[in-house]
Amino acid sequence: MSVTIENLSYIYDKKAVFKKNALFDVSLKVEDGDFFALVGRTGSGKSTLAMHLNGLIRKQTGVILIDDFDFDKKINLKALRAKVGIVFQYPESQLFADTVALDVGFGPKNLKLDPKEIDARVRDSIGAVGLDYDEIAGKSPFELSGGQMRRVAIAGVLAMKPEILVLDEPTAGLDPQGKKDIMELVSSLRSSLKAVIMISHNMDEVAKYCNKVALMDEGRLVGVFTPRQLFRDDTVERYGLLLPSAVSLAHKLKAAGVINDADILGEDELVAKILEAKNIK
Amino acid sequence: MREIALGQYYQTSSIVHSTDARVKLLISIAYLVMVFFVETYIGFGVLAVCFLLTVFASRVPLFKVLKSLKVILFLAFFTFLMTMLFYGGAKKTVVWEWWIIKIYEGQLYACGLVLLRLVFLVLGPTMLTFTTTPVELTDGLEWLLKPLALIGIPIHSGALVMSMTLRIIPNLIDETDRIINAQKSRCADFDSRNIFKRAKAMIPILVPLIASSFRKADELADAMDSRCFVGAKNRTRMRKLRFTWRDPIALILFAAEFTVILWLKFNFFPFVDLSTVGWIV
Ligand SMILES: Nc1ncnc2c1ncn2[C@@H]1O[C@H](COP(=O)(O)OP(=O)(O)OP(=O)(O)O)[C@@H](O)[C@H]1O
Ligand SMILES: [Mg+2]
Repeated sequence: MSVTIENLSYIYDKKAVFKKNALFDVSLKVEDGDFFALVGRTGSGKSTLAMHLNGLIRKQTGVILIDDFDFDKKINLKALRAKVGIVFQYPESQLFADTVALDVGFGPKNLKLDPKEIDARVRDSIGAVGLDYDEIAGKSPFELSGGQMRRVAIAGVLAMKPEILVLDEPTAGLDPQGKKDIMELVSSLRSSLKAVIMISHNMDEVAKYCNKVALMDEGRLVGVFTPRQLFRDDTVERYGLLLPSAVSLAHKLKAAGVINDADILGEDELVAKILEAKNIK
Repeated sequence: MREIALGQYYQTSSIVHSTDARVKLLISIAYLVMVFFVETYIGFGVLAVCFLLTVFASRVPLFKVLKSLKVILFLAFFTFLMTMLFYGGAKKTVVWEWWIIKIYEGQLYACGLVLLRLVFLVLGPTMLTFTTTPVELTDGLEWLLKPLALIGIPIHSGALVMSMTLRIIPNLIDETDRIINAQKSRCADFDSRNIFKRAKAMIPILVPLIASSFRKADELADAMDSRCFVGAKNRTRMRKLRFTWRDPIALILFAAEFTVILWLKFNFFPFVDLSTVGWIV
């Protein structure tokens, strides 16, 4: 089940005097098994694109193909939203129920599943986000720590058993350990999902976890790359983003003549490069 | 959601827009009083002419202003029904008759007057909000209520609270948008026909919204505290209200209109005998 987007354009306020394309002629394809990153500076249209995927925004022009959903016709939104789960930025702000279990069960309940199935899904997804069901299920979501709240919110989306999971800046506002935990969590979810699409401003995370990156700028798609291709030169810096820290350090080391080429992605590769250079000298 | 403009300010530049908010407020209040002095069709004719001139001078499209009458449609219908049912005036000429229902000429006249009064009562404040920003309005109100400070009512704090509320409302709308999208992604059903279900569907929006409002209010209070905010009393303004040459002109024009209205009511210039034109009264 792949996601295909062709020539997608979107304007929020069609009546406005200064029409501004939030999306302009975007075409991309997300395949099964992808951990797909969407990057681009603020206002580049990432969230707008993401909201198209589960029908929160109705398509204006272009083609969207997800599974057998025909976005040109009236689609069964419930079925689509069960298939494509979106975790929004700061998802903890959507918690509302009396207990964690009820909140996580909100999605499955809306899908009109039977209570047994709902209960099973709630248990599974609370477990899947690394929380202890017995300890946490009966608590109020508002008693939890920030990191726990975010996990509960993610569990609330997972409980709908989506095949594609879209995450809008899942690590925003967390401390370094919290960021790492969430990324490990998302990465561990990959096996049970067909594809993960992640919006991120953190290129270290993109370099470490994703296999494809779509770079966006002012509503346009600059291109879809592998992280290695994208971070090879200073492309991302021209679009207002930073290189991953290891890559940026490698560029400095290369300029200083310590290493010969900066063709690396992660820290381990950089270390290997440095060692290699030392041995040769 | 974003279309919900705050108030209904119509952005353009005109003499009405740049008239001082205090003057416009005063005129609006006096206008409401004035409408109650109008008891004849010719009086409403005078009001209509003055009103049209004001709309013309303000450069707000007339249909936009008239659209605001939508809110009183029901009330107008109700008023119509009431005057039809409980009319106690002269029952001379029957205009229309069906079964036991008779509609008298006098009844129609009376009903028309009541409806017109209703219409003009709505149109006045509408013009005020179309041509004055909410911020100007609060500033104007604060100035007009100044005397109350003498008897110990904290006008300045009240005004500060008002303007901060106005400032926060767009953020709240954004937040509401986000929460609605998040819950929709979990298949929440907001379009149910059943009114109880619909009310219940509001809970997943209202709870997070209220929680986040309290959090934001707390943060704002902390931010003000940490910058040593001590009181609203000596607050300075970026845009000061200033009287200009337009203001006395506005006042004089309005006074002229009011005089005509009073003259029509009390007939204090006996050299023109109003009663000679019988149909007016
Ligand atoms: N509800 C809306 N109404 C009108 N314009 C909007 C709305 N949401 C977004 N926009 C505009 O559309 C453009 C793209 O916004 P979008 O939220 O998709 O950007 P983004 O890449 O997600 O940015 P960020 O990194 O800040 O989340 C921006 O110019 C934004 O101002
Ligand atoms: Mg965004």
